[in-house]
Amino acid sequence: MADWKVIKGYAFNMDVIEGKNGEKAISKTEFMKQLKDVLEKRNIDPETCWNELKGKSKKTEESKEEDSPE
Amino acid sequence: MAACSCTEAYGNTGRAYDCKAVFGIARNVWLVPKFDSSSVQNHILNSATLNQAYFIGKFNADNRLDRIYPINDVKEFDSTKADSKVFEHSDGTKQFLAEGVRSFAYTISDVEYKYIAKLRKSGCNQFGVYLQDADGNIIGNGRQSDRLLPLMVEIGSLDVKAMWATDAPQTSGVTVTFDLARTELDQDLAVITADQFASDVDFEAFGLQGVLDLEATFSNISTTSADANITLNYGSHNSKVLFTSGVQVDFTLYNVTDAAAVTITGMDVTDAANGNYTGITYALQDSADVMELRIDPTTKNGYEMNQQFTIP
Repeated sequence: MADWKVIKGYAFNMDVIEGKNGEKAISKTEFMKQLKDVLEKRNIDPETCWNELKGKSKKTEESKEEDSPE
Repeated sequence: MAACSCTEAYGNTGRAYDCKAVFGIARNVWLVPKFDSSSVQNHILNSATLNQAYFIGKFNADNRLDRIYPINDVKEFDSTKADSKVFEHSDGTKQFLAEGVRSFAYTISDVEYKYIAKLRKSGCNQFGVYLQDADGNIIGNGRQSDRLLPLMVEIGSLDVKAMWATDAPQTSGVTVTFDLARTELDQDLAVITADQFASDVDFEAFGLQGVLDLEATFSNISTTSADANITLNYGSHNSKVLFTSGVQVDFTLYNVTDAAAVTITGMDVTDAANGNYTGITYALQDSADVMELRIDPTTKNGYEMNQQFTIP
């Protein structure tokens, strides 16, 4: 049974987001193609949503960059 | 009457006075397809563990050929047996030829007339019945020692009629009549008593009340998303009863044109109270492809939907 995550009332199939349980992981481009309109109609920012689903906030990304050995 | 046996010409006539498996007045009628999806006659095995999971599985089987279709709380149940066929010789003596046909009749009160079409569907196929009395006992055909078979219904004998509310007084509902097949012999009637059920069995549970058909009306269909308003097919003709208990895990999507499952990426069930399941998203589909949104009773006990829409 698929694992779902709800953000602001909208449920995402995490098997597709994370590419598990036999599902191919959705790319960001594909995510936007499928969900941009649907999410914006609900006043949900697709970009923020994508980051949250992928487990990364802006802050996290920044700190990652700072922590990066490069 | 079964063929006479030369090796066992007499039957012992002792009776058990304790723990009798006696069947009471039929309260529930379970319709059962004759053959299951593997072409075996549907049955309840003596060795089966008759617990809630067993009955939930039977009543909500994915394949309709494997499913039991319960009609609960039937009224005015009547069983009549036609006179046996007897040949009368010219000297006045009689010779038994065959058992008469057994007929069943009952009414289902307070049910919409749409129910008639659902019941008539059974009449298009070979089917049988188990009957259940108020104590939960189940009667069927016990001619096979290791299983209880349904009592087979004579093909073409099923008749279902609307019953009108009248001053008589008479309630609104449906009357059902059918004959048992001529192969059903009284001597084969057998009962599984309710004390054989596990303690968790509760026939009043929602999943054992029979599967409800769902209908969807689609809108905002695109190559990657669609909205659905889902109702039962009961209610006022212009305002059906809303399906309000759906959650995302209940739904699957299928591309009928490509004969392939399509994964739902996301959906919004926040307005399920109004039957609205919106923003159902999926990978890009081809224009003119026929899609089918499904709810499977094995996942959502008591409900089933296979509603199609076309990608614009």
